[in-house]
Order: sequence, then structure tokens, then C-alpha cells
Amino acid sequence: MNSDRTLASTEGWNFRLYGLPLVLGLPFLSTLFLNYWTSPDSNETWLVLFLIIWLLRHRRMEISFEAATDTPNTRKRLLAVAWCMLGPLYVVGRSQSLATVEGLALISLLAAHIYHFGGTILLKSVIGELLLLIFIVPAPASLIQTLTSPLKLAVSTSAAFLVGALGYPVAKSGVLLYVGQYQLFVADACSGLTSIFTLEALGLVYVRLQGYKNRLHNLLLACLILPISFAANTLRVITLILVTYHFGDAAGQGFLHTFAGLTLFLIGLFLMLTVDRLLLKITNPTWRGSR
Amino acid sequence: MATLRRTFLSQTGLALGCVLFAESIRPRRYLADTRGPISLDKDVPKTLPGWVKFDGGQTVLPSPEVTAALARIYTDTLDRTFLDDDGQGVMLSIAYGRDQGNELNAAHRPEYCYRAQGFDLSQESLVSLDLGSTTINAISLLATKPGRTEHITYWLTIGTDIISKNIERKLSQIRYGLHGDIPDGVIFRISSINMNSADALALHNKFLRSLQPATPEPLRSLLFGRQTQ
Repeated sequence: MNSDRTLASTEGWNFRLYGLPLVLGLPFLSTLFLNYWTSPDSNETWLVLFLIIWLLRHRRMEISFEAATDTPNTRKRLLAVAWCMLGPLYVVGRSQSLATVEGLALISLLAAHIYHFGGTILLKSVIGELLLLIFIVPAPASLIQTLTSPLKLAVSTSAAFLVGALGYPVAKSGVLLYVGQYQLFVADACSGLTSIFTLEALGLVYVRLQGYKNRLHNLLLACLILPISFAANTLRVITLILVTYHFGDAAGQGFLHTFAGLTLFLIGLFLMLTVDRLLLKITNPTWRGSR
Repeated sequence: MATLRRTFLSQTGLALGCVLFAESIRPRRYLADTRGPISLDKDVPKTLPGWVKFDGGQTVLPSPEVTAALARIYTDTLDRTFLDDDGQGVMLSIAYGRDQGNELNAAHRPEYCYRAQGFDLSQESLVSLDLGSTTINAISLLATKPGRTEHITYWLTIGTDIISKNIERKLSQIRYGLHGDIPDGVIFRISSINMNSADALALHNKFLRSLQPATPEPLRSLLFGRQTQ
């Protein structure tokens, strides 16, 4: 009755299962694309989406499920309950333009759908990707404000301090950064800081992918992702300050809008890989060479 | 397999049903279109009993880049300064948005403008303004910068609901939405400079008591909420 199969095998896993995810997911993604991903503060969450799809494909040998010719009643009941509770929530979220409610209801329905098809084994297999999906759901603006305001303050203060220490005429006063003869709004300089959350997601994915046996290594890396994102953001603001000082206001604004998100990620990625190597040396002194 | 096909049909069917139903009940009627045309400049009085318009007040405005971004949200704005018989001034600033049915279009609180101009904000509290025919729960703030102390009293509206907290805003938006309406809304702000807070609040109260009855409908309900008496 029960047999284990993997995502890679052709029988059991069927394109028909993509019905629900697509029907709910495509409208949601179009809302995200039209309303959220076009603003500079969009924190590059679309990258996370690509990552999730890539991850699923990359891991298809590992993702196994318990297919049953006769779906057990517990699964049926759970799915029914899920629809009763989440269906109305989804409808309210979608019709009232509450992207957070819509997104979270969608993800929960997806989880129920997955469980119904493949049991706890499948759910546990893809729980990482499901949780990553939460990063794509827009958070209420007020929540983002509360979380990022102190971060923006810290990043801009650190950046101003470091650039000042190098001898440049930089000063920070309230919400303004004075660079030579120019002034930058801290809010502008720090736009895209919300990608700190996306960097966090990337970091967690990286940890999972590497799958180091050493728990300490994993834990340390996971904890260090936040300071790494902070450092990456500070470096980005420092670069912005330097570009503005040497090449003028227009160049600074150009840098800000074109390369902002990308530089951040590259810096973040680089820092993470470096820290990873360091951790390897510390936790596993006998390890040599590349994996 | 038969099970798989059944699953596919039921799940996809339910999902499709939800999406289509949600889209059908999505609010599409702009509340702004059900009222007559409103012009803040014309409809807000220029003289009030005990108050005259003063040209020369320095209202705090956002920077040009921000103004361009805000133009997307606000369809009409007004900045006007009034002086009373004793020469005390109140700066009035109203921004009206036709579409407040979405968090992305939400009117910005003054904290946003003032912080961007380098002000420090403090002494935030809820105050209750008794205007006779209605009571308004507004927010009172102190904005300070070297050389300028400004007492601000403000509130937001969604449709004809007065809002102070963000959760109230969401609930109001949903309430209108479930009736099929996309609400409009304003950010209504008055401020006075270089006074102590008790005096400023009393002055603001006095000003509003003059302004409210002098403002014609439908603008009056939009700015001050529905009358309770």
C-alpha cells in the first residue's frame, strides 16, 4: 500500500499535483510582481523564489514521499479542515489586497496539499523550501519599519564612522549624511536594507546545502549570517559614500539604484563563503583542500 | 490513477473557485466617485470667525524627490496658515488620497516628513478633541530641531472613519472593502511653533471648533468624520 518514491522517479509524482500551487501561486506572484517587486525597497525576494525552484530540482533525488493508492483518512480530514479554515482567509486576503494574509494562507494550503499527497515524509523533505517561501510574503509595512529603523541607524552610523576614520569629510546629522559637498538621505542610502532578510534566507539555504556533519559549524554559520548581512550593508553604504564623494551626486544616485541590491548580495555572499572557510578550519582542523 | 485524478480535480477546482470568488468580491467602487468633486483649496474656508489666512507660514514639506513619489498617492493637498486675533498661528496641512484601499497607497504620517527634514520627534500621545458635534481621537507630537519647536496634532481618515493606529486603518479598509468600496482618506495635520504644549493643544482645539462647522459637506465628513450628534 505504501511505497517510497522520490521526486526524481516518474511514477506516482504527477504534473497534476502542480494544479493547486499554480492556480493559487500565479495570481499571487503577479500581485507581487506588479505591486511589490518594482519598488527599490523590494528586498530582492524574487531571488528567493528562483532559489526555491532550483533547490527543489537540485534535491529531487532526496525528496521522497509515501504514495498511497488509498489516501488515509487522517490526510483527508486534515485537508478538509485546512480548506475550511484557510479558504476564507485566502479569499479575504486576495480580495482585500492584504498580501500578507493571502501569502500565508497560500503557503499553509500548499503544506496541507503536500501532506495529503505524500504524508509526513514528503512534508519533512520539503519543509525547508516551504519555510523559505515565507520570505517571499510581504510583511506589514509597520513591522518592517520597526525592524529596519534601528538597523538603518546602525548601518549608517557605522559606515559614516569608518569612512570618517579613513580621513574623508563625512558627518551624520539625524537623517542626513554629509559627504564633502553633497548630502545623502540615510533612508535612501539604506534602501534595500530589507534585503537583509533575503540574505538571511540565502544564508540558511547555503547552510542546508553544504550539509556539514559538524553541528557546531552549522550553528555558528547560521548565527553569523545576521552580522554578515550587517557588514555587507555597511560596506555597501561605504561604497556609496565613496562613489558620491569622488564622482558626484549623480554617480552616487546611479550606483544606488542600479547596483544597490546586486552589490549587497555579492558582498554578502563573499563574506559568507569566507566565514565558512574560517569555520571549517576552526571546527575541523584535520580537513584539508576543497570538498 | 483514479485517486490522483480525483485529487487533482478537487484541489484545483477548489483553488480555482477561491481565486475566482475572491476576484469577484474585490472592491472596485471608488468611494471618491460617489461624492461630488472635492477641491481642498476651494472648499476649505479662507476666513473663519476669529481667524484669518496668513501668507507666509513655513509648513514643513517633504523634499522634491519625496514629493514626486507622494504625488502618486495624494490627489490633492493643501497648506494654509491661520492667525487668530492674538496673532497666534496654526499651520494647516491636508493631503487627500483618492485610493486608500491598499497598504501601499497609505497616507504617510507626519513622522515621515518631519524626520526626513531633520526633526526629532517626542512626546507622542493620544488626545481627545471635543468639537461639540463630534469627538476626535488625534495624535499629538512634539517636533524639535535647532531653532524650531513645533507642536503637531494630527489624524488620518479612511472614508469617514478617524484613525490613529495602523490596525484601525487595516480594519477600516477591510470594512469598506467587504462592502465593495475602495475608500479615500486624508492625513489632517495642524501645528504651531514655539509654544508650550498645553497652549498649543488649546489653540488647536479652538481652531478646529471654528473650522469644522465652516467646512462644507461632503468635505466636512471626510476631514472630521461622521457627526455623532
